[in-house]
Amino acid sequence: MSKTAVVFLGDGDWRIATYESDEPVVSVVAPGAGTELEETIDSLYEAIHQADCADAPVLLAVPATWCAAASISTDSLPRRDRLSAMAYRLEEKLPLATEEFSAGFISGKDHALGICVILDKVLPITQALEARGLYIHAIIPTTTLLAQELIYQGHSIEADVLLWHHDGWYDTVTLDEARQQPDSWCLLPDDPTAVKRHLNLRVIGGRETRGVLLIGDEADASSKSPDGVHVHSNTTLIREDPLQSAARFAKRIISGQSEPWVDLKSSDLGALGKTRFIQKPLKAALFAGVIMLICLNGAIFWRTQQYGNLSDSYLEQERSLFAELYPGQTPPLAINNRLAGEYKKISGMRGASDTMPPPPATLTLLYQVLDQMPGNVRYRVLEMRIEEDHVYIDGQARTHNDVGILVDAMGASRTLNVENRHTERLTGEKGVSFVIVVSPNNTPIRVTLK
Amino acid sequence: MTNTTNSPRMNTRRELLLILGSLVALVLTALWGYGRLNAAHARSVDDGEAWVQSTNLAGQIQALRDQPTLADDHSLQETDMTMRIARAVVAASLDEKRLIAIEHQAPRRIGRTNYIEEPTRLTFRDVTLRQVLTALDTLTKNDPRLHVSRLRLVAPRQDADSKRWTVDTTVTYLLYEPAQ
Repeated sequence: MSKTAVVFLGDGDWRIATYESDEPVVSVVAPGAGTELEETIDSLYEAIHQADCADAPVLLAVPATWCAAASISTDSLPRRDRLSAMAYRLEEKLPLATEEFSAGFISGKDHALGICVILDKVLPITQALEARGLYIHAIIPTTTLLAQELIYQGHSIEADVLLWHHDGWYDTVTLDEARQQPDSWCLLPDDPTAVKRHLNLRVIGGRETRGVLLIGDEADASSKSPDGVHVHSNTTLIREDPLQSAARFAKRIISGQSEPWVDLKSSDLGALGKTRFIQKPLKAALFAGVIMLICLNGAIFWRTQQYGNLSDSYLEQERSLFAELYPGQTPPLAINNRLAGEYKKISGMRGASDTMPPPPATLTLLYQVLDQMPGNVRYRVLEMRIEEDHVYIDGQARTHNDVGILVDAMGASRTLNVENRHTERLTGEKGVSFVIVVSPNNTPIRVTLK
Repeated sequence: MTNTTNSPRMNTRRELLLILGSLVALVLTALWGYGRLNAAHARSVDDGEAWVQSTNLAGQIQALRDQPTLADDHSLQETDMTMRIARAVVAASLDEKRLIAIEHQAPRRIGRTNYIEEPTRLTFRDVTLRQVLTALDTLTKNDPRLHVSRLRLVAPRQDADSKRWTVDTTVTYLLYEPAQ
């Protein structure tokens, strides 16, 4: 097992236990009581650093004066969130709200001993130690560490009550013999009468005290009544340093050889475990993610607004264009569709459409035919009909030759094409009748008026 | 040995939930905003294309407005047509009595095109070629929508030397009217 340290917290001096050849060496952390917390933390950290335990797990032992304990019933507890329900039952027994303590429970048959530590006392310390990079392995009351060590040493055979005299109190733990676990824990005043009364109450509850373990400063003298008699006839005096004993068991807990009855460490008390090193980067990453998303959202909304402005600008220009083309008219919603319709219509009206039929060239054809009629022969036109770009000339001439001259004159024109001719001698008269069909060539025709 | 939850841990969880909730809300907002951005982008592209199309169409419409109207988009009133014919007859120094008939005929579509012609049949009697051609030329030369589509000149047979003709002609007014 690598190095480790146990810190005994308290209202007075703090003490630190380091180990030399597995034996704890307990020393006071200077400066002691009366100094500012930060100063004490600095001194503690310096002591841990000097003991080469800065990278080792640290166990915090809390004094009984920072703790509270009460027995609660474990009947009818819900299966879900059982621990919270137990905490609320403990709250009913204590002058504290659940928000003010961190609790652990030692389960009995139908009862559990709830032990809690006041957060206001330990939270600033654990946070300060965490901030300095220390890993807090567990937070355990000093009293239970001591009691577990004494049981480990086999003292529970001769006694079932532990009296630890320190700082003007009797730290009293009574044990359930069957389970070898505490069934009560309380602080009694430094008065043998009060201790006797507590033991008598135990008798009333049907629990005869088998023996008492007495440990602590001047415990022997103070536990005797004025007539020199101990609080119990079977009293065993333990002459060890209680903190050294507690430190011995703490070492076993850290090394994994023993399990503590109760560990008051929670995520808020600095025991963030293996994830403690990524807490800050994780928070920073999450915060960076939030900032990035806020920026991203801002950029998206800004860009969306820009696209909206661009659309509005296009629409405004389209409206201006429409108003310029059609003054006084209300612009429709789809201006380009309306303009497309208008363009189709106007291109149809102005002859830009491919489907527009060519205009009939009736008068042009007539002028062309009249231009080509020869003046050196005699003939008479009885009827001239122009339909669908064809000229039908029905007339009479003196001879077939005259008709031929007429046809030749028509054919001489580059713009006319004689499609058909028919001549017939007139019966009973001199002369011939003729029918000539003329159509225009594809060459353009210039219209002239005679 | 068991531990239970207390308020500071709850606070930490609340903080974590708050951050995660904020992240989820921001991601959802970003997705929603991205959708809006895409829609706005597509709309601006469409509007830009519509504006370009409108600009081109407006230029073409403006150019076509300078061209003569070869087909009307609405019918010519019969009275208006009659008045035009009367003015043409006067311009050709024709006696009104020589114009013996004006017959407005039913409009008809030209093939399968978008065009309709409205024919008006005119009959003249005892008119010279110059007179009738002057009248028809006067009637059509200032309006490209009007055309002489048919012409029949008949010389009276009983008076072989006369230069006066009977003229049966049809004048059409061109309309642009796309089929439904």
